[in-house]
Amino acid sequence: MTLPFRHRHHDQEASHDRARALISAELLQPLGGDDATWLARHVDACAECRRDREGFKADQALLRTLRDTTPQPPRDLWARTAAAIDREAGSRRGPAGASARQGRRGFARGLPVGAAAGVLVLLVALGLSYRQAIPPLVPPASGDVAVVSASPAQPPPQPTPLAVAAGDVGWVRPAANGRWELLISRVDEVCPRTRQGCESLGENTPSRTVDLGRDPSGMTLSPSQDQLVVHSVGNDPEADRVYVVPLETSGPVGTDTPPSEPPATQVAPPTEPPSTPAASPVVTPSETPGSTPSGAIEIASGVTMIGEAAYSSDGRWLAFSARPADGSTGPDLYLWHVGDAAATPVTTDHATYFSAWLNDTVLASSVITMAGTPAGVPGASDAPETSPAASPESAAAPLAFHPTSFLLDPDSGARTELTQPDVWLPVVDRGRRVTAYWSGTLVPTADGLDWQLGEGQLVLDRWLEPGSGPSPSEPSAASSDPPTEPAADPSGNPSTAPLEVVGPAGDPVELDVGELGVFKALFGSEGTRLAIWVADDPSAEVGRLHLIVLDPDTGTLDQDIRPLAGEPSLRRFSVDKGRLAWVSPRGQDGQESAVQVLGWKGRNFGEIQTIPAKDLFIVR
Amino acid sequence: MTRSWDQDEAGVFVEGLFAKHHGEIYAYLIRMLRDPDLAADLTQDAFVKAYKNYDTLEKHENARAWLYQIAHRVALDDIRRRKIVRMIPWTGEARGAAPSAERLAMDLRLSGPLERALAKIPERQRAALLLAELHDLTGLELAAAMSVSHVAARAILTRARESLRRALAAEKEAEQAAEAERDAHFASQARGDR
Repeated sequence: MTLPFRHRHHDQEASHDRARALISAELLQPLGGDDATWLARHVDACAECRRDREGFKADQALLRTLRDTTPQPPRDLWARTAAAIDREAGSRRGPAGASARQGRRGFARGLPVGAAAGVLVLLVALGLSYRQAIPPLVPPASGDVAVVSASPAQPPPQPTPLAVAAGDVGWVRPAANGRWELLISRVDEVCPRTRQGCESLGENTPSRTVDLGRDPSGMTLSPSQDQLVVHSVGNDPEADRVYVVPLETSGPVGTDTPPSEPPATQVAPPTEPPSTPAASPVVTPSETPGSTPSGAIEIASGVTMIGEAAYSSDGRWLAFSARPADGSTGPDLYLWHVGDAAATPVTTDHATYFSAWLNDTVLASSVITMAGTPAGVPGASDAPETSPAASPESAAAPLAFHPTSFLLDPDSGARTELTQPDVWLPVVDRGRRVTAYWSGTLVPTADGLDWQLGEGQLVLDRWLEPGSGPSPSEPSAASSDPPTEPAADPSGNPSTAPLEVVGPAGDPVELDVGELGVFKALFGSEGTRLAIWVADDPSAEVGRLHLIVLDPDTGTLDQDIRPLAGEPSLRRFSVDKGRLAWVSPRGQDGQESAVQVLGWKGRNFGEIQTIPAKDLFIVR
Repeated sequence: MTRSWDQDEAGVFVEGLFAKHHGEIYAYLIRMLRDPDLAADLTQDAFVKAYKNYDTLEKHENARAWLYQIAHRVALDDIRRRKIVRMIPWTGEARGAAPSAERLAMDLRLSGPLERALAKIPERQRAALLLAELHDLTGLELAAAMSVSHVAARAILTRARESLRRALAAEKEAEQAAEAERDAHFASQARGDR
């Protein structure tokens, strides 16, 4: 199904949107003076909004009829909960905790024998629902709590690990003396539930100490694993820098390396993953960890990297966007040819953002004004022609800017604009069949230094290029119909898309990833998995990660499966053959972050994770 | 900022919290998940997490929203995990592998047009509607429970109302179509009788 799609933002629509938002808000709690006044005036003049208000109120009344039937919890719920809490307390207490247990007898009081027999750990399998399991109830050491499990002598059955042939996962974690450790680990198996049946990821992976200078804020591993690009933020703008740390693939081991670790010469080329456990590259630590490490190449300084850097698929180029660290202008696109002394800005509009590589071509987006000139710093005075002052109602609507996107050949410098307007940060699968992008407008962030999403949708679309596009008869990205053969012209050659069309086909399907202010999307190398990280605002470090499955034959959305839907995640993630890796934020349950991996084989999915730790960076 | 973790204090506090709020937490979870057994399991899970994370509760007066936050995450986590389908089989008891007769009966009772419409809208939107309209969370409490900003919570709620409207309209259309089909069937039978 192709969903309704709005190409352009209009003030009139924005005022209706605002009215709907305020109508919804007033049902939650009374509006403030200005909002209430504005809404009253708008609704008086807007029949559609009056209908919305009545509709929302009717739905609210309907919803509240559900209060008439209050579900009753099971009678033994407290007994079960108390037993589980007691078990948790026991695990925290250890042998010395007996007195604490005595002091909390209230939990044990009245627990019926056998009340919890039916809540033993149970994982659901066989292609049906997967339930959250209850921790197994363990009979207490004392006689305070009497809990009987269904089969106390036998541990509950564990799920069978799922063997996967996934790509390596690489991450960096803090080591001693201000240095860092790089780990690259194969993912051979995952489990239906983390930490049940599978070992922790990386337990047997040798680590190598690397010197990354002062605390890095981001890093990227080269495809050949011989370079680590590090972005660090200093105390003053001039101290911000981007540098490349060479990773030794042979030679002496770093001084912090434990003697039992395998020699660095075991590093395998990227096309042939090393056998388990993979050896990790090494750098020789510098003597002054607080400065740029010895041997590192500083390729940019005095700039703040926006988003992430990425290497081209052949490893010859690195691309990123960065703006002056003092915030005087917006970002430009930078390219660094591996081996050169420095990265070079290749745009001058101060409004260009690197999106992704399409094999060895850069995909980037710029923000433009209605007049077609660069927007520059969002908060600057070059406001678009569609000034919000145009009408009284639009005074509340945010300034809306329009993006445009382009392809750039780093070797020749040839730039090709995408045909369709309002395409922001597109990513394309390696097979050049499908693209995901924000289709809509942008608005400046509150600090005026960045942009966030305005009106529009995150969508999936077909990707067209001259000579390689499908025929118009090909189904839309959302269609579940099988693909049709391209129509042949009289000469027998398949017809192609119109030559002028480059980029999205304009047949988008909305991707439901919830509310979002910013996003980062990446296709897996198979082209059938699309990972999307979303957050409410550009400065957020914690967001929600989604994994979307595409039909391998048609490239259309597989509506039946959403293996990851809004998983809390830090900003950086990686998706590759057979796995998606991310870092979980510090948990609600007080746990530190961990590298999480969702692995798959066909349509079977499972998880594995590292032991929790602080300051983890995904680099591969 | 977190406080030092005192087991006795945490235990007593969570016991009181359970006495006061377990009914509404269970009701929220059953409305989110439409599965009484699962809702009971996750209610237990939520209170265990509350106990484990007692040190993250900064003010006791915020305990209710904090508890809803935990329950909300537990619910979404479970929904997500259930979407990781087709696990490798194992030779244990496959609880829930097939719905019981009681479960089917319960599902039927829950399957009015409103429940069906609610089930069709995205989970986060459903949660926002339930928390705001049935559990009376304020705007700030809703934002806290959903771990988003106040502005984002309001936006989610607006989208939820719009989604519910569309879903209810679709339900209504489906009912009307079914009714028309029934009428046509009876009319056909009546003609046959004559």
